[in-house]
Amino acid sequence: MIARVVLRIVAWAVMAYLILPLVVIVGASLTATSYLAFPPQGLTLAWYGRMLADTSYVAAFGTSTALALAATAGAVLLALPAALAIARHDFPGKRTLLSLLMSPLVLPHVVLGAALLQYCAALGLMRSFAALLVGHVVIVTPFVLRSVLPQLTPEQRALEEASADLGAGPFETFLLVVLPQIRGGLTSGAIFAFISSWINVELSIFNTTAELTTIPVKLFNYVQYTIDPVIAAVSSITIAVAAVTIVLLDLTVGLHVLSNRR
Amino acid sequence: MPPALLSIRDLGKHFGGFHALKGVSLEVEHGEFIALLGPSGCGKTTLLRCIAGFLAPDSGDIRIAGDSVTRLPPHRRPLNTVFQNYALFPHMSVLDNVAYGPRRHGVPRAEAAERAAEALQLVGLEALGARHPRELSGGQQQRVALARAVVNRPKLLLLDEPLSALDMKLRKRMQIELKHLQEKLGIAFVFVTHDQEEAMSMADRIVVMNRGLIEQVGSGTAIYATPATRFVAEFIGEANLLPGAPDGAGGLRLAFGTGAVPYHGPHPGADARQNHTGVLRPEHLELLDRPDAPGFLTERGVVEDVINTGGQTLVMVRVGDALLASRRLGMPGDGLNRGAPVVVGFRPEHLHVVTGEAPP
Amino acid sequence: MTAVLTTTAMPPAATAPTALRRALPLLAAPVAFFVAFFAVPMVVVLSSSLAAGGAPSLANYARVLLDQYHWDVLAVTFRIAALTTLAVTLLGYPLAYYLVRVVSSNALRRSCVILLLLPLFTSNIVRSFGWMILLGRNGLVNDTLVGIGLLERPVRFLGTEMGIVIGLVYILLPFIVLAVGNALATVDPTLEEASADLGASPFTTFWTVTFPLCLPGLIAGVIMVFTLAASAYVTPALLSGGKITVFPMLIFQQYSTVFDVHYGGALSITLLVFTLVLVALAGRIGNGGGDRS
Repeated sequence: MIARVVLRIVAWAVMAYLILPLVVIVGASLTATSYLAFPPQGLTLAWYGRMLADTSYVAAFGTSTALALAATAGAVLLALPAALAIARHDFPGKRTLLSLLMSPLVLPHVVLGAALLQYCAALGLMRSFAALLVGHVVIVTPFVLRSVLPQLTPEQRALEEASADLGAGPFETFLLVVLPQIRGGLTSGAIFAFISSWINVELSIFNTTAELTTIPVKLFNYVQYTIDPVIAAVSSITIAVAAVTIVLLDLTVGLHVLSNRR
Repeated sequence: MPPALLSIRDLGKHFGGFHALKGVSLEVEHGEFIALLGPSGCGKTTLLRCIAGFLAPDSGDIRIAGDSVTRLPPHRRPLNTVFQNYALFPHMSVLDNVAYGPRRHGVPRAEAAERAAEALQLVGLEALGARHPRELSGGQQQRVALARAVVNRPKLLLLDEPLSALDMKLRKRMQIELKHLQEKLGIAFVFVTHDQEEAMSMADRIVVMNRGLIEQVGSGTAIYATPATRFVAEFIGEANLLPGAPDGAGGLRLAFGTGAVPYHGPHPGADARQNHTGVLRPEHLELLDRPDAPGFLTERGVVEDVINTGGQTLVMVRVGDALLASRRLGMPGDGLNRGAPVVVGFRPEHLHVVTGEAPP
Repeated sequence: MTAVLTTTAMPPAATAPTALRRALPLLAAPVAFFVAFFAVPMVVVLSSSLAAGGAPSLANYARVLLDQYHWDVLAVTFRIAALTTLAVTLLGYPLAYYLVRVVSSNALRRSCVILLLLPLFTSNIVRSFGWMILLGRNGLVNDTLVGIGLLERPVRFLGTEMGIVIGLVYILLPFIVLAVGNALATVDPTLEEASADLGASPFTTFWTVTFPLCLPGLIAGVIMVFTLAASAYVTPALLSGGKITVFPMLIFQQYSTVFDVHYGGALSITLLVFTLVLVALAGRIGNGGGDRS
């Protein structure tokens, strides 16, 4: 019984620890003071106005969004056929291929970012949107692959055979039978891919410039020099994007993590 | 008189608005083999889980050898369980699985291993101790689960549909083995099943449950020959049901074909407000060659279907509005075709009356 | 966060070459892309690191490995990573257990999962920024600790290893909670019932059944957290206040300011190799401990 009570206290303390910094940021963005204060002193939305007036923030939000959307689309286009090939065909070197495609998950992003900077410089693409995009596609593809692959089950295969038996070509079968069945995995994989691209600093930082920059990189560069409530306002917006993404995830495929499979 | 091994008093349990147990009482004696039988959702598994301690009842009391265990957590209860999916620990060897119980009771490692080996020998798996559960067949896993549950020599073993995952042939063999093991060890078994044949062939007493209540407790013979309720009559074996009505003189009139059969034999509750139904087993409804066969009540009917079940023949006969089943040994004879007129009849002493209305 | 990848049953008739021929149209694009923008760039880093003055050479590695400074930075980096992993495990395991096994209300669990994902879906920079506010000399943490009398005067957190660990623990905690929690959720509850039935107390059941069964999930989470902590750049950069250097900072300096791809390449490969070796060791120890009964 005592163990239960201790467990409960630890759990709630950890939950508080997880949420505290985000609450602090949102709170500090509303302060009427010109320095960061938490709890906020007075309430104002002035810092959000200041952010919107600064076109460089708006441009960075635009770059981040375009990059995350394009990287997600690229990841889906690469991961879907790869998942189908891996799930359906027993070709030599399959394990190696799977390891290759999944390894960006464990590879330090700093190392990959450095490698892409050097490589894209050689290709004449240094610090371009294309250089950012290829890197982001590489790091988010595993998220899509990881959530689609488990859904291509042997039972699923029987449905595909039934579809072929009824006269559907491979493409029709994919569109009418496979895609509806893996929609859940695909959606959650795409959402994780989007958000992983959206929040990335360590890969992007190598290939961004003062003009072409993503919101997290801009924040990173800014925070190292000054800290003011505008930063808190920009950060709050990214927290809001995270919240919206989670709600979207919950509404489309549902949050099945941590639920007992009974 | 010493207290019963297991004594359950007025047990109630509900899940939200669903009443799984509505006041169940039951006594189990030492060494008895009890089957809890009923359709899914009848409360038999809930009852078992309350006895094991995995569920806390809302009301009532459970005693083992006179001591209340209702408030005891499962690990303090002097009984063991064989789970439906066996619940073998996948990360331990077979021997470690079986030795788990003795180890938890403070038996030193070496002695626990010895006892586990003995228990495995009991189920014929002494050679497989080093394997992991996933390397065993379904039947072997079943035996390991059994060895693990009896290694501590509990006085009471609970079994939750332990044979349901096995195929038909293996299942029949395990039924016999299980029965022999139970007799050999002298442990009382409380065995949950939805298979009446299994219950009939193994149990000393069968507890028929329905909708959270016990309908009848009795030997297999008793519940088949003299079911207490219409539910039991229909659930156990097949039954022809003859709707009955009071005749105003303490007796009953049971509808049979176009006429009605007077019935003055024993029947539960002479209360005129209760409905009664006559139960007639198919083997007691005979095809006769004449309507005035001595000792029989007869009616004329028409053959609707003849089903050969191999060694037995089931003849479905339309008598008036009712479709009655008649079963007899042997192959269907000549001339027994659909549409053929026949005479059916039964001896009144084979008629058994229960409360509850027959379906329209 | 690590899912087990299940590969499914294959058509038995297809021989290996046939299978490859059928898979090729599907594989062409992903393989070409990953080779062009992942494998080749990594090979370029490796080959740059093995060249000096236009000729093959191990000089860059000598420069990295013979300098005590690099060893000091490596030690700091992996000490921070190890402390972070330990703290994350000690805090994350109880939370995961609580969410999966104790919380009975689905609505509460769902809200907690949302709160758990919220930081995970927020950039490291934003989350570290939150701690910069909290851990400052006049931040909430110091104010509170002084206010309740635990401290006499404000302590410096920013610019200490402690501050970096606090930030990294915060960032990596959701990973371990999800890894352990998902492993716990797949443990068949009847196994724990069987353990109790055989006489094990809840405490014994946890250590003999539940814990070993979710050990693979814990190990996967630990490896993930350790790798991410050792390769983290943003959080240490923001919370170090320029006073502490971790290895990824050295790499970043070489590529962004000095642009020495040979020396930088050697640093990159060194970090990679050390991380992989430590992860392999951790996996080994973990598996060794998994055989307990």
